[in-house]
Amino acid sequence: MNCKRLQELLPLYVGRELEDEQLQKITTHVQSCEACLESANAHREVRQLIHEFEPPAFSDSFYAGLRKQVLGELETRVQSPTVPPLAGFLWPCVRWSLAAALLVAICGLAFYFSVNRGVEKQLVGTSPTANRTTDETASNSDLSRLKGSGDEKGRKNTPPKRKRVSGAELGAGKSIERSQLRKEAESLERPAKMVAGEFPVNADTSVAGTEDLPTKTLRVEILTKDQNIRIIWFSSPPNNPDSLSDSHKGI
Amino acid sequence: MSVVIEIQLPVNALTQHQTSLSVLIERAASGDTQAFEQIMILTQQRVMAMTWRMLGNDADARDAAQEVYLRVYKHLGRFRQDQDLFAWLYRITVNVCRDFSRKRQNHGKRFLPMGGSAEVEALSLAVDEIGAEEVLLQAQRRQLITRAMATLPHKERMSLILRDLEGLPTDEVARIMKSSPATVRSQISSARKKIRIYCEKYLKERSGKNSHEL
Repeated sequence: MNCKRLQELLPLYVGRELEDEQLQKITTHVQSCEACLESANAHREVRQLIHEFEPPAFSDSFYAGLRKQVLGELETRVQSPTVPPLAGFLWPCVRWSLAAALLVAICGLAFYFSVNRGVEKQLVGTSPTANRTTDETASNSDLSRLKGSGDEKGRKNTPPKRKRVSGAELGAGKSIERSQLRKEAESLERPAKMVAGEFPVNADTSVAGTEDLPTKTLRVEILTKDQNIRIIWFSSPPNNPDSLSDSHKGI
Repeated sequence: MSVVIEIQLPVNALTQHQTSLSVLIERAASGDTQAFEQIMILTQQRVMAMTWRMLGNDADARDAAQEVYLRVYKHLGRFRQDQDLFAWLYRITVNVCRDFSRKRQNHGKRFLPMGGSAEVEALSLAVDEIGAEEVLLQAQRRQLITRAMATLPHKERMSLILRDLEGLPTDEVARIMKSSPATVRSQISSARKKIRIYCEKYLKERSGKNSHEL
């Protein structure tokens, strides 16, 4: 052990706060090194000096006064033990507890809403597009076009459940009541929580349903508020299935 | 001819003392203020010595001791019988003194070493009993160490007081300070070095002044 390292350990050496092995090594070194011996003696003197850091001898009357003061304070507290409600509120532990409870409540609410929103999206996402028949998709596309604007919005916002006008009905040549069509049109206008493109109208499937298409031309008239304007929708005969989509241009 | 003198030591004195103390604590916890006063009488000197050493003056030490006993009374129900009462008291005292130091620092004050009236009385009594020169020397040494202690950071001073003046083992000091034994050893070592440096510097300055006067 060198002198520099020993100087670091001397304050603990004089207080015997080192392990036996280290104490032994230092003792051996100090006995052989005069400079370190002097330093160790200086530390011992300091330690003796520290022991002189004594408080003054307080008198009995001083202690009696202290006890009296403490007991007086305790009696006062016993007589009026209740803490004012506001002071109780201001206690740090109460404050921290309230803050923690508030934080937990906020986190809980945020979690609840985020989870619920996720579920709603999931439900909408798994709506009956998969089970929808080709007729249904065909009729949906027809109805969306019936609305008259020909915009994509109506098609995209098609609600999952609605009264449908199937291709079979069209084939039977049944007349569709105007009010029913209006309802359908209104239902198309309903805002729905859907992501754009969730219910794509498959052009192929609309063509696939042409086996049951009517032999006669179907004609639908829609009256508007303005008596001078009529919307007439008709389909072409099924000779050319590809012309189904073209027939809608008759509006 | 040899005379054999048999001295009968009170074998169970410590146990009896502990038992009486635990009884007193139990009574005090149930609201008996007389029992609490007895506890105060048994512990007041140690508590006052601790607070004085940590805060450095009579007024603050007294206020701190009062606060210590109020906290002791308040939390007496939490005290377990298997605990050491003095270790528990030291812990409370350390906390109270730390709070007092913080308050004082907030008010721009630090460790305030100054001799109280009791010290003056003690000095005047000592002058009568032993030589004036000896008393003066003692007073000087005491003033020196008091000033040196005032230069220490709060934690180092507490560790040093608990270890060197209260004579607690390092592990116990670490428990009271809520620290590790290695940290406490480091604090104690640093405190002793600083005191040595301060004293050497002070003595050099003194000797320099004296030689200049001569």
